[in-house]
Amino acid sequence: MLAETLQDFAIKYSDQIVRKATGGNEQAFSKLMSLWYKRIYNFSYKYFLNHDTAMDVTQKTFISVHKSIRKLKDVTSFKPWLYRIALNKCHEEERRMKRRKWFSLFGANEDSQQGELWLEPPAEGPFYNPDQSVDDKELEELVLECLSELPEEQRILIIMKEYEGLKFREIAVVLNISESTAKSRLYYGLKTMKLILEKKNFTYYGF
Amino acid sequence: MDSKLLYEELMAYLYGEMSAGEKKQFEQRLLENPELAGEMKEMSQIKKVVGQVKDKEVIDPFFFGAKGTGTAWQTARIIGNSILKPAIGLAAGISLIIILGYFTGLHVSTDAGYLNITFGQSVERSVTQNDNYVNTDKVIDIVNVMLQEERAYQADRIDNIEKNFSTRLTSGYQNQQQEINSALTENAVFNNQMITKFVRQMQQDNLEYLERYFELSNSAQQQYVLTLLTEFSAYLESQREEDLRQIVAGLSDLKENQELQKMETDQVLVSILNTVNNQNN
Repeated sequence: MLAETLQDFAIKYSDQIVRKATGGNEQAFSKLMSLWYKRIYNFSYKYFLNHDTAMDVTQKTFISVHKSIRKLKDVTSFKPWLYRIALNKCHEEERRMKRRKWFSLFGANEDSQQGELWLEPPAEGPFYNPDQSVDDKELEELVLECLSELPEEQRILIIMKEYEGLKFREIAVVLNISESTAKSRLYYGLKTMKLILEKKNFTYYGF
Repeated sequence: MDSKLLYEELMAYLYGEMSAGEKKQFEQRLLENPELAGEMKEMSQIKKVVGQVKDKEVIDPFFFGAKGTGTAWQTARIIGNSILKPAIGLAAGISLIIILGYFTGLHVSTDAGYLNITFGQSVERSVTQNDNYVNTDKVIDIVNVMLQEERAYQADRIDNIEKNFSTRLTSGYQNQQQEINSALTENAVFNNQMITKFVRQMQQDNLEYLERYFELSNSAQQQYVLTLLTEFSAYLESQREEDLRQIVAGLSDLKENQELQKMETDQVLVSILNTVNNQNN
C-alpha cells in the first residue's frame, strides 16, 4: 500500500541519523522526528480514528523516544523499537480514556465525545449498490470503520503490515510473538475484514 | 485451508516476504491447487480493498531540543497544532498586564542598565554612576581587547603550527632522502650481482647455442657434400654411357658407310667392266 516516497526512502536509510540521535545529538533527533512523525501519527490515527488523540499519542511517543533513545543499543532495531513505544502509548491512552469515561460525572457527554473517536457507520450510500461508483473517500471511511470493528490483535496486525509496511519479523518483535503467530493473526484479520465488509453489503466490484 | 503452514505461506507470498525459490515453489502449488488459488485471489482482493486507505498528511512539529533530562525537554515540548493554545495564553497574559498597568499607573522604564517598574506616579530615581558599572562602551572596549588578544593568540598559534609543520616537513624530507639513498645503495649491490649472474648465464647459453650450431652445421655440410658427390658420380656415369652410345653409333655409321662405299666401288667396277666388254665386242 505504501508508495515509495522520498521520505520512505530517507526512513529506509536513516541508520546514521539514529546512531547520532542515540549519541545525544539533538539535531539528529529533530531530523529523526521529522522523518517518522507522519508514520507514527498515521499509525495512531488508524488505531483511534481521531486526529487529536493521534496527535497526543504521537507527541507522547516522541517524548518517550527522546527520553530513552540513548538506551537503544542496536540502531537497526530502531523501527520495531519505535513502533513498540507507539503501541504502548496507544494502550496507555486507551486505558486513560476508559478511566475518564468511567469516573466522569458527565458520562453521557463523555459517551458522545467518545463516539467521535469512531467513525459513524455510513448511511445508505454507494457501498450498498454496486452499480453506483464508489467514491474513494467513502470507501476509505468504510474500510476504516470495518477496521475499527476488528479485534485489537488483528487490527494492530493489519495496521502494522498493510499500512506501516513492517516485516513479519519486525511485527513479531514489536508484539513479542512469533512470526508464525503474526502471519496467522493477519490471515484471520483479513478474513474477518472480508466478513465485516460483506455484512455491510460491500461487493468487490472493480477489485 | 486447514493447514496453518499453508496460510502462513499465503501471507508471506501476499506480502512479498518469500525467497525466489520459495516463491517459485508456491506458485507451482497455486497452479496445481485450485482451492489454494481461490483463497489467494480472495486474499488479494481484500488486501487491495484494505489498501485503499491513504496516509493522512500531518505537519511535523517544531522541536526545541533542550540539553539535559527528559523532564526539561518535556517542558520545552513539541509544539504541534496546539501551538495556538500557548500563543493565545501568552497574548491574554500580555493584554492583562497592559490593562492592569493602565489602571494601576504602571510605568516601566530602563535607565542606564536599570529596569524601573513603578505604580502610580513615576518617581525620579537618581542613578549614581559607579566605577563598577559596565556600560556599552566598556563592553565594546572589553570585547575589542578580548578580540585583539584572541587574534594575537591565534596568530601565535598559526606561527607555531607553521614552524612545526615546516620542521616536520624538512625532517620528513631528509628522512625520505636518506631512505631513498640507502634503498638505492642496497639495490645497486643487488643489481650488480644480478647483472653478473645474468651475463654469466647469457655467456653459458650462447656457448651452448654456438656448439649446437656448429654440430648441426658440420653434419649438414657433410650430408650435403656426400649428396653432391653421389649426384656428380651418377652424372659422370650417365655422361660416359651417353658418350659410349654415341661412339658405338658413330662406329656403326662408319661401318655402314664403308660397306656402302664398297658396294658403290663394286658397282663402278662392274660398270667399267661392262663398258670395256662392250667396247671389245
